[in-house]
Amino acid sequence: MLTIEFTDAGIVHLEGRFDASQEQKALEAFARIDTSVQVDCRGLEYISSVGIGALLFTQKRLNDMGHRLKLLHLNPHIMEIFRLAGFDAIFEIE
Amino acid sequence: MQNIIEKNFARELGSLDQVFEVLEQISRTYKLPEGSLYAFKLCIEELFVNMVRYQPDSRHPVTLKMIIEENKVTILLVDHDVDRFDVSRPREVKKDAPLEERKPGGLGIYLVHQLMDRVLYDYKDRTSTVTLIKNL
Repeated sequence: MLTIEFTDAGIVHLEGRFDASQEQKALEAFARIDTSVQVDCRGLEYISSVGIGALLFTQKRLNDMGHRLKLLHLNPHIMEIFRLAGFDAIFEIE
Repeated sequence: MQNIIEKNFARELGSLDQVFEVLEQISRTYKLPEGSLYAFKLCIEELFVNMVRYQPDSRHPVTLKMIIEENKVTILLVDHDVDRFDVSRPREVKKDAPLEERKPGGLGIYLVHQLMDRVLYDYKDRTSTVTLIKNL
């Protein structure tokens, strides 16, 4: 189960498990983002290639609009997956 | 000593909840390292999702079998009445490509090969068997 919460401060909080069953929900939620955004992944326990794909799609869309997507607080397991896939160089990660 | 666990999962994405529950239970019971649990979750999800999405005509559940030994875990995913879909050859992913050239396609199988020590594929009588081996 994945929880996606938008705050007034322009931060999107992801919590739980971002697997393939959550793709549609996530894409619909991310479609609401139309400016630079920080995605706080402190509560994100797990992400698979489908979740990374949804973030990549959103990153590209925002980039085309001149905006940025920054990922915050990835746990070490998720960071390792990003590193293996070479996405640590594609995403701005803090 | 070997411990063998076998479960069937309906071929729908909604089964992923049960898949993860089973893996977490196995991890607790056999005290698997946390990093290995993440790798098992990801690899099984990637392969299971491929089976569900690319073999939609089969009406059979997907069988997950785990053989847990002291120094390694062997995972078999068995898919019945399906076409051949060989995942044993690693997919190429252009890790250094810029954002505009990066695509998520093929990433799942690429990660499976990165995270497991061996990935084997067998196809016989319209049954696919993917075997993953992870040394602990």
